[in-house]
Amino acid sequence: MDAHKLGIERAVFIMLVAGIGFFLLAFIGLGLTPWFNINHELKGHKKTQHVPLLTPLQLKGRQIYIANGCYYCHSQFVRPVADDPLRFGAVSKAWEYKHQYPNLLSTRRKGPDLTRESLDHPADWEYVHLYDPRMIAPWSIMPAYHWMFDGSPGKPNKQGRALVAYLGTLGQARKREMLAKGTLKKVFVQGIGTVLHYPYKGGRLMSPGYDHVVYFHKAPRIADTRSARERGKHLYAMDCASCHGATGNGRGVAAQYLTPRPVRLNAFRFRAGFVYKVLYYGRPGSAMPSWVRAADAFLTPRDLWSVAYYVQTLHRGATAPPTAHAPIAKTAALVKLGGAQFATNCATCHGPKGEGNGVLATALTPAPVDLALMNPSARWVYHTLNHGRTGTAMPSFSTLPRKVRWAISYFVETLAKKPKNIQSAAAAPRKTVRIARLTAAQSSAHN
Amino acid sequence: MKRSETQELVAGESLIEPRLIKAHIAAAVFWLIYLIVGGGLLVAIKFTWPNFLGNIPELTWGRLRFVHTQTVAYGWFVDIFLAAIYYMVPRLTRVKLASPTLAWFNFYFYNTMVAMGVFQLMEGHNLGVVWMEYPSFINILMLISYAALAYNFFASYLRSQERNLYVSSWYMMSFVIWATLNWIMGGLVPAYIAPGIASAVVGGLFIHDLVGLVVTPLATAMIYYFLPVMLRRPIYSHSLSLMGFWSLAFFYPLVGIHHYYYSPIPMWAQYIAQGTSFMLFFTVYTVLYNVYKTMKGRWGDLADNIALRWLIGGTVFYLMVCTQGPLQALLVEQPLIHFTDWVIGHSHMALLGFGTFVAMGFIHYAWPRLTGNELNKSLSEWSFWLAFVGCAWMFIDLWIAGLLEGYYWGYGKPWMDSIVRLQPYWLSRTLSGVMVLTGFILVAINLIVTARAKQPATDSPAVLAGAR
Repeated sequence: MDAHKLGIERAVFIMLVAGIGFFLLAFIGLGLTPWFNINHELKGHKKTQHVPLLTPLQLKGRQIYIANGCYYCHSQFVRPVADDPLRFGAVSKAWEYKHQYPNLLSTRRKGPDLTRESLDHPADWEYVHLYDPRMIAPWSIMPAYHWMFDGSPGKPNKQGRALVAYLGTLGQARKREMLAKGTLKKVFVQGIGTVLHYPYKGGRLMSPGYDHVVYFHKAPRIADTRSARERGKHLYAMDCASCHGATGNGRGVAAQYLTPRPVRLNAFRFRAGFVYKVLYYGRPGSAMPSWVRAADAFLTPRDLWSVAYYVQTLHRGATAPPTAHAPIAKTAALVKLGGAQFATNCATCHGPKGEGNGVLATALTPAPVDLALMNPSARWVYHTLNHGRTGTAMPSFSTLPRKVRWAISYFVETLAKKPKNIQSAAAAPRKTVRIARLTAAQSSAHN
Repeated sequence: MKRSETQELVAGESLIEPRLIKAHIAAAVFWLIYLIVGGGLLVAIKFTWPNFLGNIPELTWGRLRFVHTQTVAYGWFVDIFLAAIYYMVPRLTRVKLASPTLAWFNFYFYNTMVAMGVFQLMEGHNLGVVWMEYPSFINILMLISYAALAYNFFASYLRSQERNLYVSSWYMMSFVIWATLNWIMGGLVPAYIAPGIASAVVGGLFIHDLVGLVVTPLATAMIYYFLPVMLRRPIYSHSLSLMGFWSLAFFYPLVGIHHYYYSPIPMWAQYIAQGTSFMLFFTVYTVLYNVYKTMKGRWGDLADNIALRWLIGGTVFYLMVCTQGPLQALLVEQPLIHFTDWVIGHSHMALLGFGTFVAMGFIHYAWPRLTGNELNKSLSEWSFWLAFVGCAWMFIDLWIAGLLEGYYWGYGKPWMDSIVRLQPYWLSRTLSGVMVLTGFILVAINLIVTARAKQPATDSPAVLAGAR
């Protein structure tokens, strides 16, 4: 055999075995085989019926998601490990990805995972966040996508609408499947609305459960201390002020683009437990996310209580909000009139005692508020009666006589529930305690 | 390989096309600097100042990031690999290129494609397959380039009268086949054929094949070729180089799924990927044992042989990156480090530390011989140390940032806490990048100055440095 031939034969051998052979072996062994394995498992799999085919607008949104590299920073799979299921929801399953060309799993998380994004944030929140993420989260490093809007977050152009339409599909398939299977339940929580309830599935790390649900229910309430309020103040500035305003006046930078508008926190004497409940569940039907689930927040029970105590200190009493109408002086007769009018006009939604459990309550999104626990000031009630709440079922009652409106406002004040830990039930001591707490909180806030 | 053969590798100046190689080196270095300035640096600055150049869609983070990565792989690396192939293959086969015209056409065509790719990505035309982001029409047109390369490459070996195939040839032959197959697989399957999770399976294979079957083989081929040539001494063991090659060929294509650990990909496939990833220890240590045994007694050469220093610097990063790689590919590590900056540090060490440094070794060796002039000594020193220290700084910074990020997530801190905590590390990373960039700009200046210098220096000490 001549020398030339030997060299060629060796070259051909290398190219056939190493070049083509081993490559094909890997493609068949670890490419085609898992591929067919997945296909086999999904064949006739009833769950895949829950995976929607995207509409043309949503598909365009997916293209924009790819074009702008969203998929690099935002992964789309929830791993059965570490904090993933707690933070981002149920662990991803192969069938959820049917119809996806190409996959957008990603290999990096600069921002939160978006697998269950649509369960956390509604469209108006997405618009503001897309327009300028720092309007919502001041420390965010996500780019601002001004060019998807015509000048303001309230005016998305076609690109912005398409992208948000796509984001609205993320997590929907799994939600539908879990609702159909019963692993996920819709539960009406009084004063909060219809929330998705994730039952506890055992404490195993690999379980697709929301283990923190149990963790949070069992978490003890922390004491209302100065340090707790300081922590709450920090968290409020970081997570809440962009919508609710730094002073709790409901006028954060993002507020005007959200429907319904963020609540004016300083007009209420909240019960801390109620604030905790809202922070925990969010407010379905509004941009208020659950702060234990929202991927970017993920606060602990301790944090939630801290925020709740801080929010209590925001109350500005009768000064808020200013109203064009001079108040009518509060009398016992007026309150009595208010009670009768409340029963006629308000109780169908808010319930006879204003606890947000009227007969229509379960049908409304967002659900009627629990006036007994939120304890709004009479001025705020009057203001709301005049203007209604855009984006909710609360209409304007400006057709009612002014006297009646003030009467209802004063009556609502009397609905306030007493805190459980004060047994004597006397109004005066309760007030003293609250004022004492307020003074301490305000002085600490000023320091 | 015998000593006489080693010396033959140095000869053969008449066989190569110096202008073609110089053109490819120049294009490669241009892309290297472009991808740092127009990609990496801007992207890094946006971590600290997210609104920087924020109102121009073409200059947003999500578009520039792909300009950075795609240009690394297909601008800088493929261009420098073509230069290296045109430099090595005629000497190894003892025949000239079959068609220099085709090679020249390929030079213009390929670089036009890369430039078009940059433009398309900035315009938001993105395929969405990780590391395969060019839109499909560019991917299809680039196949012409692969075909042109394959024609010239295999024609050389078919017409060769050489009996022995040196190990660099093995790596290069496999490279040509792997790069083409991988290109077809990555461009076609995840985006059009395999749906959902199957797309991630094939996409994962593609990502790692790009590192393991495109960058690594050619860089290894360069090490095996230029190390003996620089030292004027044969490689330590031919058997070890065989083992290194065959274990790379067998194990590397099987590891890709480790990019999607704990995803819905069947668990058995993830376990196999874990095992094969661990076996890379064997591959890499075999190659590096061979390299360092060859270096035995000659470490002093690093002091004044700048090309050798780049090359050996690259192998040191290779040692580190491939010690890290198999260990971090263990499933137990993944909950902590996956998705974090640790991985970014790791991939920078693979491509910037290992691949780029080895390629720089080739450039610093070949450029004086192609231009007939000596490189500027002090520019060489400055560029090496700036790049080396900058790289080390960047990698360590990113590893610490990644671990912090992982622990912040693992301990259930709010997301934004991890972002705020990492800000100083991201600023530090930007500064390290500026340092690396300065080093490479000095390399470019050095190459330009050398090419323009008047005096012929064929007998200069630098050219004959290895002959001592």
